[in-house]
Amino acid sequence: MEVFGNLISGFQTALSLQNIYLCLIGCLWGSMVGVLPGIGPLAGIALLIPVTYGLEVTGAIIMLAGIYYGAMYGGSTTSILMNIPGESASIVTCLDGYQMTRKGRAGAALFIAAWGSWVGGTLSVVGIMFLAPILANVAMKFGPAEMFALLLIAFFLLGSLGTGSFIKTMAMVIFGLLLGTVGMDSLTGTLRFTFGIQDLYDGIGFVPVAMGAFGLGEILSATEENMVREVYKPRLRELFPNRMELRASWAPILRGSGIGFLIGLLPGSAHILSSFVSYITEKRLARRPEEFGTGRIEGVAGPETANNAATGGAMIPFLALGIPTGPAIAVMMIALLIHGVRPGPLFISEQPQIFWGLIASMYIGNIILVALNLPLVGLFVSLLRIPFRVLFPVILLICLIGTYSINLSSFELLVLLGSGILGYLFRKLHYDLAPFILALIIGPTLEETFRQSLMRSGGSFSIFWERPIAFTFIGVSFLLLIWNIYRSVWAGEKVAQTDGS
Amino acid sequence: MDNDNNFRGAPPAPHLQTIFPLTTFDDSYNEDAVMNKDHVGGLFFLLIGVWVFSLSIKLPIGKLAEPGPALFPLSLSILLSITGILIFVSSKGKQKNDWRMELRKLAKPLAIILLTLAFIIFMGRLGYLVTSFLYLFSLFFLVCRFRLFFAASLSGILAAGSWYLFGNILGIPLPLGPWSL
Repeated sequence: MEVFGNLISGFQTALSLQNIYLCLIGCLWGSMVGVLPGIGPLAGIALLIPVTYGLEVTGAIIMLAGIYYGAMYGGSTTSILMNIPGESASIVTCLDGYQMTRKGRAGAALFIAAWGSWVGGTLSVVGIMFLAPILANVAMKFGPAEMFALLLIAFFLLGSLGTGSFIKTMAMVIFGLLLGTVGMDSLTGTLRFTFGIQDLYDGIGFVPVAMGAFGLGEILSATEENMVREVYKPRLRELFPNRMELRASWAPILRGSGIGFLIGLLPGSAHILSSFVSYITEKRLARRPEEFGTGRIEGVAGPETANNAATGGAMIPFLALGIPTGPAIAVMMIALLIHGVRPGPLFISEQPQIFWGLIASMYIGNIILVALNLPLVGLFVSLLRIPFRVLFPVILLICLIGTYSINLSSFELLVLLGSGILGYLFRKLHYDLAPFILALIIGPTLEETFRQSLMRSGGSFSIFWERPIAFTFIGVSFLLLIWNIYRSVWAGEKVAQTDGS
Repeated sequence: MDNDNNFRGAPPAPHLQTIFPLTTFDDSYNEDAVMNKDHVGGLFFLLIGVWVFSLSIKLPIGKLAEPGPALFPLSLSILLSITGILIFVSSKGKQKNDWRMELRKLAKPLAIILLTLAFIIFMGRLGYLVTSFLYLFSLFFLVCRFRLFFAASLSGILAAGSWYLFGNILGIPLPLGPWSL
């Protein structure tokens, strides 16, 4: 009952004219960045951070969250109409979505994608509403040992969720953790690896690294090859699915909601992973799995629902524990910190008007998105007709201004450039970037909690097994490590056997 | 715009579509080459690990009861070196890459990197408006190979538009040049 009371007060906050307006801007901007390949929610959120300086913090987070889940709605448009994923989470939608377009069923695919996104997004907000406060209450009992052990699980989960080999993913994670040690040590004030550069005293900024690696790096990769696109533009009256398609969609949508929400709780590439898992699940459950890839509506309904449900799941560790589970959420965290608000166990109890205002706005935002995305498909298609050769310089300029606007620092532009070069090279060498970025974020907290734990225990490691929650988490993390090593070795043997035969 | 009235040189050919983040690079192989991509990656991490180790041993390591600032980077540098070696060793037997082909693909990315560096260096001296115009013009004319007039017009519109949007509407204090622009 308390939850519903809080939700009602959240709606009172979210239904102010200004907050509805900010939610609308966030959702529209998010849909646009979702539609445009090459610019993702990370850049979309970072670019609007300066706009939030003059806003009240509730309005700021409502707008930024709108961009985040708006991008998941928009990403399916290019996947379905052009066979190019607007977002990494919409890769799987290309498989059946584009085939539906070729069969003249683009409108039905777009409709089901939007509908499934609404269901997944809304159900995941219900999940946040009930789970986040419970998790926050539990987390208030955490000391540094428990936080360290929890982050250790995240550390090994990053290793298992990377798309490359485990050892290569771990190399990226360790590299990210190492980069996080640059700057002034928070416990002793010692400068590490700053080489006398004053801009490095506060460490390497996360936003320029992320924008460089994901934004500039992706553009550098894309300019190696020329891209020619065909864009299909559906008419509004073609936008409705038939009865058979509706009947075939509801079960994948429900399953996708559950899959996406649960996977969203895990750090890593939750949106990508949830959409893949949903697709594989639907294929396994289908009576004729061989038809997947030829234009099955289930291949669109499940993954698109899952990637939107994952946004809600991903918000729970962020809001309740202060652990960002993805790069875009980490940028949101930076925006909140700029406003003096720290997500974590105390956030919900100390700032309930912000938390419940955000929850209520997510309900509103999902309605705005499903109402706007279909009628605005024509507009989005017009955006897609802009050639990539015109688009990428604009995207580059936006990334540069977005980074510059945060601290007005030219040094951070150099960090962006350096990260872009690294991101490009890592792509060429087939390394996954997401674990690197997430490790950069959680690294400083991992180190701080480890050292604080040892200080509390007088140098004894027994603190990690004498405290039951910490011991449990460490046990889970080592099981994860063993599982990852086993999978890596087993996959290697399988490849060797295949090569041999 | 894609029908190349404003495009100099050969029209773009249909090619691979890049899919973020699983960019599908068309790896080409050459058995005469010495290394493959995993060799390069492994070596990179090993060198970084060794370098950071050499820097970290100069920092105070502290005691277990009061761990110093060197503990974490030292441990990580050792782990990174080990993973680098493992990656290098595990790539034994894999096909070697054609590095000449890889180098040929570098022209456009390298141009973009150099132009972006020039933008960063000159933005504080010439101001945002002038630098962004020159940056966009160079990208459109040299990298994207649009015709001169088209590249100049588009750059002017986008530079002025972005200056107005970010500088005036969003209120970002963009650097001013010698002419207060």
